[in-house]
Amino acid sequence: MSFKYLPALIVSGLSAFCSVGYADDSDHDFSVNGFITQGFFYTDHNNVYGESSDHGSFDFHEIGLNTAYRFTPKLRGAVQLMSRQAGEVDNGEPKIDYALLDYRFTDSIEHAIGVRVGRLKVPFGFYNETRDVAFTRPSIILPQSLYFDQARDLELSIDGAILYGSLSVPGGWLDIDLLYGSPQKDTNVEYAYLAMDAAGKFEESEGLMGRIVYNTDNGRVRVGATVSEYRLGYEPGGGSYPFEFNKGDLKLNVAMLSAQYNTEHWSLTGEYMVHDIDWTELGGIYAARPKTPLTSYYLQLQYRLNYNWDLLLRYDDLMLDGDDPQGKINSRLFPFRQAHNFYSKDITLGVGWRPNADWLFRAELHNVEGTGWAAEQDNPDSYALRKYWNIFALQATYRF
Amino acid sequence: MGNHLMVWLIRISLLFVVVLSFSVGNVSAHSVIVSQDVKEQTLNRNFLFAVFSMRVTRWPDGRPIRVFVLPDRNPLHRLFVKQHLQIFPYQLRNKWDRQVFTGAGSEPEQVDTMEEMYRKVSQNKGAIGYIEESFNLNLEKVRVVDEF
Repeated sequence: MSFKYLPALIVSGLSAFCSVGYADDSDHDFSVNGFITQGFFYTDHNNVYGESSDHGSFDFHEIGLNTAYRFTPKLRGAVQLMSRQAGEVDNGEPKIDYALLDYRFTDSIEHAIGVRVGRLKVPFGFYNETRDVAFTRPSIILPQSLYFDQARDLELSIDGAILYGSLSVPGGWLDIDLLYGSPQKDTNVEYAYLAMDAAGKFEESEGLMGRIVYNTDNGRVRVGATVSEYRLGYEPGGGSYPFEFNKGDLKLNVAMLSAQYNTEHWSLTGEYMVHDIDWTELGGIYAARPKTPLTSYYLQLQYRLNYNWDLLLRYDDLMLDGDDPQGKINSRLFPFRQAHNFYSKDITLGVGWRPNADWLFRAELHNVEGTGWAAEQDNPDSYALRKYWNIFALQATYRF
Repeated sequence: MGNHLMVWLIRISLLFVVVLSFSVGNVSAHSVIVSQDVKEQTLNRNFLFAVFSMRVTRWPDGRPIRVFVLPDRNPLHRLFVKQHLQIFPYQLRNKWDRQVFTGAGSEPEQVDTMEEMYRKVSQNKGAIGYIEESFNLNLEKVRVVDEF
């Protein structure tokens, strides 16, 4: 039996088991939720989520199933299993997305404070924690300049602890998360930060992250900041230049600002990030330019016509090296990559339709200049990448 | 002739306003109800907002809060959220989804009708919900809380 069908089997098996438990109304401390998403992608050039530039790709699904249980008024537990198939980037193998215990010390309007331990979602910006849950994101593809799917394992979950709190302050409340742990790192992280499947591996790693969001006017206005510091220890694997690096730490520093304004029909959202990447200790091909400030932002306008329909317009801008917005310097230093491989500008138009509370359908168009976030895994020949390209995407989601 | 038409137009529009305000007034009058074991006599709006957004999960005496809501698209739910909590239903849904799918919290329990709302709030400990004011309540089973 191939892994392809395993997630579906687990999901159906677990949901059958859980629906039995759910039938008992007194068992309110126990809950089960899940979703299934199928995507379709067609591109005129370059690939996203499979071989999309040939005849389109259905090689994309997301299946999630979670359960939560309240042991005592203060102690909860929650687990989510996730299967994600995304071209050559994700193979659909079911993974534990989060598995945590949550202990809440105080629980009042002035301050609700607690701690979560286990495998936790990474509180990064407005969308990261639920990036794989279709009906929590505004579009099929999240703004790739900040939520790049390529480095997703690093951003997805972390094994560690979060101290969280919600505090009343003048005009509203603050949501605060402080996180420390060991991030997940696999070959995708090598692609994202080394642009290849390197000879060695990232081994011992740690990450620190803090996010604070000020909510005012009952959440109509949300302003947030995220800062983080990651250290990924590289362990050489006995390869040779250009696929090998020195033993040492890759250092990642992120500073991000987020803001959102909500009205009944409109939401205006913007996020800006500077992500310093420091390859100094690794050397290898990056000795030529050991430090770069990855710089990105997006501006997004959502319009809700009514409960059933919404529209989206977004401009998303990524510079892998903020000091070299056109990629000219970098393409000279790294001759195996074209200049447009160092940036991306994406104009997105989207429409969403919710015929009822359980179903969501989306369609969207991306007009893209640059290939900064085109995944190497789906585009193995970097010389074949085209500077100007378009994506047409469809998505269907069912939640239960 | 023109005057006559104007007078009629004004009359019709007045009638329209009266009918409209009557119907809105009728639907908008909800009460927040809690189960008899809940000690609080009054609840302020900030607390209600925190409870229905599932940000606060325990009553001041430490017992868990059980929140009941009508479906997202129910007109009474939408009016309650807009007028009592003073946010938009989609914001509330986003908050619940974010909590459910990060493991950080849960969503309220959904009921389909006002009868069911009344029954669930009256039968469960630490329960809170809302109901149309015109609904015939047995005040020995649930309590209407004052808001400030």
